[in-house]
Amino acid sequence: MLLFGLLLLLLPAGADLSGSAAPLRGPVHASPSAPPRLLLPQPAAERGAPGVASTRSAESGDGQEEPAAAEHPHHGGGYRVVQWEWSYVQTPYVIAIWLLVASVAKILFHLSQRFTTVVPESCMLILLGLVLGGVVLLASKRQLYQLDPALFFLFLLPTIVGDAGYFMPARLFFDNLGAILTYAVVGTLWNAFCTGFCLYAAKLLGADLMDFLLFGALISAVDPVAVLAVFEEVHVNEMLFIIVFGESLLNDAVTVVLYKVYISFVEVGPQNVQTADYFKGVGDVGGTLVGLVFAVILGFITRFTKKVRIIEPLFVFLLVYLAYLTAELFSLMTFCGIGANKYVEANISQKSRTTVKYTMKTLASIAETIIFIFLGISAVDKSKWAWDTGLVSCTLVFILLFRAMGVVGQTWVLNRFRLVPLDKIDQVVMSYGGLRGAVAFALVVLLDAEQVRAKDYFVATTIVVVFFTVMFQGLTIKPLVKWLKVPRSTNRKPTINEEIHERAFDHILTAVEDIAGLQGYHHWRDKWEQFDKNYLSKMLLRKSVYRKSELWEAYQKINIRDAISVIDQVGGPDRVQTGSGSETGRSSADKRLQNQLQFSHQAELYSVLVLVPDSRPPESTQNQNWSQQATGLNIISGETEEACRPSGRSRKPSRTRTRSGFNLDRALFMEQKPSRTRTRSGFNLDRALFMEQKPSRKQINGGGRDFCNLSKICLPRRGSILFCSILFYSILFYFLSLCSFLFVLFLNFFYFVLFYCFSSSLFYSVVLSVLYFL
Amino acid sequence: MGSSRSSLRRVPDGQQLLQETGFSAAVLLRLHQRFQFLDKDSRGHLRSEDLEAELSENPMGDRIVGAFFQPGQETVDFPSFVRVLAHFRPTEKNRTRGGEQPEPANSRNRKLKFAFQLYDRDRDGKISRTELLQVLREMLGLQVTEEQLQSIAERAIQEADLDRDHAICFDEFRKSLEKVNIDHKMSVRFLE
Repeated sequence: MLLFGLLLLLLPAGADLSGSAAPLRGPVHASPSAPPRLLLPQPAAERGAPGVASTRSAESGDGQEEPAAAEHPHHGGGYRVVQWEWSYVQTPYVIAIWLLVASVAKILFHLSQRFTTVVPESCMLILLGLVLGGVVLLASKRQLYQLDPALFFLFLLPTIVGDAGYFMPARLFFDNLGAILTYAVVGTLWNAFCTGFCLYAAKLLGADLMDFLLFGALISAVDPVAVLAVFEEVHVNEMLFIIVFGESLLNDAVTVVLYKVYISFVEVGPQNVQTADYFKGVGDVGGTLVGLVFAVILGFITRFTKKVRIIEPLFVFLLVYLAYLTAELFSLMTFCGIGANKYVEANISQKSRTTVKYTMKTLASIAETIIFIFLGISAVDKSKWAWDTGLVSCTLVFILLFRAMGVVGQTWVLNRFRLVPLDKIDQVVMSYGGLRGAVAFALVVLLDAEQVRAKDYFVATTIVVVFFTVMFQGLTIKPLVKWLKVPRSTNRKPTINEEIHERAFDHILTAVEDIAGLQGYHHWRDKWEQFDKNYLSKMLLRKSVYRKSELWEAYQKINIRDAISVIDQVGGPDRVQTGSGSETGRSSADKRLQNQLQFSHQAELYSVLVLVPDSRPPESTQNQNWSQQATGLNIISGETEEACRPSGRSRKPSRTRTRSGFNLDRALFMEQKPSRTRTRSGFNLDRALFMEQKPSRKQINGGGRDFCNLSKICLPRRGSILFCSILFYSILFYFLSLCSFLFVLFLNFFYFVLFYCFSSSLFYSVVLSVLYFL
Repeated sequence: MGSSRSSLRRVPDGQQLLQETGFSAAVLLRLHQRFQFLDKDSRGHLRSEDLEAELSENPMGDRIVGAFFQPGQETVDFPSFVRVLAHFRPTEKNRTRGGEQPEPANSRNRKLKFAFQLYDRDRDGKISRTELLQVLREMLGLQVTEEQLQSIAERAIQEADLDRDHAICFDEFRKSLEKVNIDHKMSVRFLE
């Protein structure tokens, strides 16, 4: 198996090399009368190849002979039954082979359990990439594959960002939005400027300040792919995860904007930089707005897709992707997919939901794998980079140092406003978790070597930094988290009591805020809920869905989950009453619950699993309250749901509450085999469907079942003012940078630095004192 | 901003309230201003109508208002007002206090007790099924049918009820919420 896997891994190199060799035979076998066509480059095919960006030149030209040669057998010599049509299938073939390699690699890794618990997958993928790169290099003396930035930004990154955004638990995200925005905007700017300046001050390479600022901008961004890959395995508590992950998603906008500003500065020269470019600094907010607009469109469209259920997932994918591309159009980076979840999940059918979830996770997983492998491969190409020890070591030191300083500073400010202060351990995890990844690499490769003469050094440094963070920090973060006793995410099942009381607390706190005259977080949340209920949901949700209640949905979910677990324990509807299973790991509360549930909820549980409404409930329940059974049947009609969806609260489409509707919907859910549902085997099939709900891709472990019952983190009471001040601050910051750049034109760099420091410190102090005195 | 001890003298029982509730002087002042704002006729105490006027439609609104008044009383003065609000102060971590000091108002236990009393209107120390149903009805009201409410209430009691008396006493209530972070969910950030 291992051997087979290894052989498979060598396939792409082999395929490509042999593929390039094959066409040479073509013209020989084909009619000799056809003149050998000259090698025509086919740039369109190359660039259009979404799988692999190949730097081949000669080989691809070879392939062009084949189409010419392939036609000839028809008119020239003999007719060949089997032909080697390599160039015809070449591009998709190689792509498919690469995808296969990536997937098989994952399988191979998970063969060893102990290995996978210690080493994060991303490390192993990079190592694999290194190995493959070495192989390809040896085989063809030249690097054939590398990570193409266009491919990365247009195809690989949107899948990951879209997946993350779509399944992002909105409640937790918006609760911590202040912290996330601060870290994303202010933190990235701080990192970028400080790293750039200090590298320049270290007088390395003799390159320009602009070059270093550019490099600082692209190396300072925390990478969502790396964070996701590493934190998934570490299972820190949701709040910490959402802050780091949210930051990594939102700071891309800042990075890209800074990057583009500096690029245009470097390329175009100071005279021609448009002032409009600086305003793109507000791109962070703009990007998310684009995402939200598309989310609304998506919600609206899915409202009407009742008759075309089969293409519902397509809408989701298309619109999420379009949101991303639209933002790219405006050179923004968007958090696409956010906000859509609530409405879309309510509108689309159960099967579409499943399809969307699994497809997105599969694609994201594959994209992540490919990114890491290609990172490894690209590293092996010595022709692309130049080594400078000083630069590399300084960069490593600086990014760690400035990240730590930035986190500590910002946390100090934020803690004055947050309800849940971030303590020292959180800060350590946050600074340590600032991983750089493929985004930085893609950006550095995009640099134009003419304009930025130090590009090769930058590429090498970026590769080293990325490797260091992903591998070293990825390897050590798990033991670190354990050693520091960071609160881990609890995998607790929601109980109906918690649901009820948490909602009650929401109302209580809103009332208290109203009485005490505070316009706090709950006040605004309540207003938003009212707005949502009265306008937004009316517009975006189907009429039938609109009137459901969340608490009722939660109750259903819990019921179904318990039904499944009871059945799981006792193994069948006929033996429900004797269930006293002692599964390992079940808490005593669960066992007690089981026992209680057996006797009073049998009817209801059974009706969940009763697959048609007219089958007789077991005799043991005859002493049950028949109205309860009827209630159960009516209530559960059509409510089909996987236990504990990982994507947080969601609404389900309500089916008609009549018995006939019940039957129809169960049939729909149960794979359209209503006859089978009467039998035990059919029941098992359906249960398999239920139990199969754990998605194959490692769930965003914050996005996992932990988010089923979100712990609410209250935003500061001054939430709105904090927002305004941060927004104001960032806008002003950009104005200041604008002035600084203008200064550069006329004065010395020295004055520029002075002015910058002075103005930023002045502004810091003004803002802080204003906030303090308010 | 700062602390203006002089203006604290205007607040009835100012010093004592400072110690008892743990609010800072600034917050106390602000609450006093708020109290005076609500007390439109300057009577020195509030009635339930004054408080209710502030609430937008809130399912738990009248219960909260009721919690301010001691049983049998119709007015609430400033110290009682502040004492009730003190329950919602964010908890401080790692505060070591002497063993004899009374438990602070914003401790987890006190918060839970306060919430419990909101549910338990007849003050018999247990949340009965009818009381729970009432709460659910107020919260969900028009959205679900009566039978659904019954199911939810039944299930909730079953989950939490350990001693099989078909009601939830305070200990059971506390136990059912042991995994919930009460410090966050029952805290409001007062102005500093």
